[in-house]
Amino acid sequence: MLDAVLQRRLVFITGKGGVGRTAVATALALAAARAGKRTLVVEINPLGRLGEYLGDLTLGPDPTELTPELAAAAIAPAVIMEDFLTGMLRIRALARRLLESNTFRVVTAAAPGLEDFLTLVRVAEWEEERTGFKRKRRRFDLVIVDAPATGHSVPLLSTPGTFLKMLPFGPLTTRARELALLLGDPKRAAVAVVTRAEEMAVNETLELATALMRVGVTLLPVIVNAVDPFRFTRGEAHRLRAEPAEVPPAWQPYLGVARFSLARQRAAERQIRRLTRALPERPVSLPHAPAGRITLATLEPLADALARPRRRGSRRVS
Amino acid sequence: MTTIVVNGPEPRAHPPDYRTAPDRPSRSGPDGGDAARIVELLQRRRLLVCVGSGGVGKTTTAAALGVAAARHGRRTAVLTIDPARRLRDALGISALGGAPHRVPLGRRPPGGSLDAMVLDTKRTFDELIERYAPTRAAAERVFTNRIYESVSTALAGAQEYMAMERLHALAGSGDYDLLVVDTPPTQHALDFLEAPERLIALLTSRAAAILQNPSVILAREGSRLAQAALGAVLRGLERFTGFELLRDVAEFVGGLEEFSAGFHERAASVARFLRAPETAFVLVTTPESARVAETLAFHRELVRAGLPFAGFVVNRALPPGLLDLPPFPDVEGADGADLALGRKLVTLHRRFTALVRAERAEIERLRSAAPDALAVEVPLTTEEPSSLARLVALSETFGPRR
Repeated sequence: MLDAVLQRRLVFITGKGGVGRTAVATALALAAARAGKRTLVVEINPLGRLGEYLGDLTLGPDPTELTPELAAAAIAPAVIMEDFLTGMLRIRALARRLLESNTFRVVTAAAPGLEDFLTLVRVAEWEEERTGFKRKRRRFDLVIVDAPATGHSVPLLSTPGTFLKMLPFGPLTTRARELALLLGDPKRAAVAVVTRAEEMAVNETLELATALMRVGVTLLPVIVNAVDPFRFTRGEAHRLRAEPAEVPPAWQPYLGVARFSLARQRAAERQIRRLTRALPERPVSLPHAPAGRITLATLEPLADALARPRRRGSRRVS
Repeated sequence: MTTIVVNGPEPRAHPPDYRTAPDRPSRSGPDGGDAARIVELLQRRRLLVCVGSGGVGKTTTAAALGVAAARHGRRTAVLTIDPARRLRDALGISALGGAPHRVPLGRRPPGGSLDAMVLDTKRTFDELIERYAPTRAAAERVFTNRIYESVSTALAGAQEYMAMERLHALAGSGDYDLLVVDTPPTQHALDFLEAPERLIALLTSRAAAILQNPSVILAREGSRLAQAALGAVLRGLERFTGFELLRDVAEFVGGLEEFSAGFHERAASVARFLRAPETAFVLVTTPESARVAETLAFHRELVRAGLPFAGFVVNRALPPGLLDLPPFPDVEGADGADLALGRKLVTLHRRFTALVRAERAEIERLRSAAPDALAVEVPLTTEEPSSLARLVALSETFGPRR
């Protein structure tokens, strides 16, 4: 998985609510940083958990450098709008006052997608940002965006296209065209969908993958989060499922739990097979983060799993 | 008092759940008081609103409540506004449009039925405009505006407002005794309630006049500073977005103003409906600590707003009966394959025990936050309720088989 990410410069992480997008984005950033890439992980959610996972940091729109290779930022649409206005007015106090004005809210609300557009502009600026002597060095090799959930990610990523359709001429158009080129360039940008090995999450993932392909972004392998590494072997499964079960009598009271766990294991495997069959590339499975608070330490196993070379299996041709 | 025996969904075709002992753990289902409250919800209320964080099974819960109500003999409609259309999966229906779709429930008491529908935000907006436009020409002006399509679907609050609008229309149609609605995942429970009012405030705040001639309305802004800022920004926005967009926006909002009175009246009526005693809010959660914390925050918001809160539905709960199992027998004496399997079973038992303990503590937090409210636990199963048969089985958590 990691090799596919490291080839790009801008990677969006999306997926159904509650599947662990932020944890996966953080683990991916961790793995990329360990591979020596200067990585920025960005959260687009004013109430997100990225800062908490990284060690109870308060993240803002200016990247916080955690190590020379890893930086993190959080951008809230309201803050982006404020920056945009400040750029226009040159005085932040005026921008703030304006944002509180009811009248102004009408104007911005009526310009649909402006916040999404400005969010993408900000992300693209990081992707392009140069630093150092004569600005020869890129500030970040890779920008990982913890994007909104399914429902909002397609509109977000189609914003440049929508803007181009709505405003074929005008000063915004150049920027919209650049963004559309960036998002559509398989060498630079890609999207990874996070899911779980559960039927409805997989259904939604397949729908989302189709919608994203229609938007014209490059899809990375789907990441199946929280796959339980605990598994019974085929032989054990056979012994547990036999009637009567082929286990010592003293173990009988625990058969219920064992069979339940086995059934869940099989259901999860079935869902991963569905993804494998339906998608051009094999999905990547990540283990459960340990129960309790998520921290950089508990995300290590996820980063390890992401960095592990994948089985080279191409899709079966039926 | 009705006694409800709760059985977890357990279709024959699938492996059993983790019931280990012949006696069913008693706390996994509603006790007498909870059972009576569920019956009251399903039989007396007219609107159930399911609220919760993403991924907790709101849509499925809404669908299962709908099935349960239909099986209580009520004419029920389930409306989901979730853009991923998960209700469609849960109900096993491949094409669910904006129109009501009858769900084939099979045996049910006379009169009971279930219709399911997915919110079509755009179409509902169209209908609203047609209803309140003073003339056909006024409606046409809105429809043909270039930004109408994006505004009617993408504007913040449009989806929530149209869900409320649709609910109101369904309630007024007289076709249904009970409506069950699934809400989009929100950070705040009240987003859903406040969005319609916010949207109307935006759409009817004389924005058109402002956009067409900012100088006229600038005087309405409180301070000179704000006036100056607004003027500068409007000029900037025009430069930035091109004049066309602003003109379109002005025309669009101007078009809507003609029927602002209708909008306001309608919103007020929807707000009354949501606060009526025959409405109930159900908070859906899972027994994980982060989700429970969010749910408790939602609960405080609902209580503070004086909304009719009915209870919690805790999805994917493990049965407390697992805690009653004795410690796993010593396996280290076993040899070969027995030893490997035995060790796995020991691990498994330890894991389940720890999980159940943690879950009981979380569910206790919910119960103590609202001692008088309902708290229904829906057992975790190996399969998700993505077929109608499973949904029907799941609905039995909310009421007896009829």
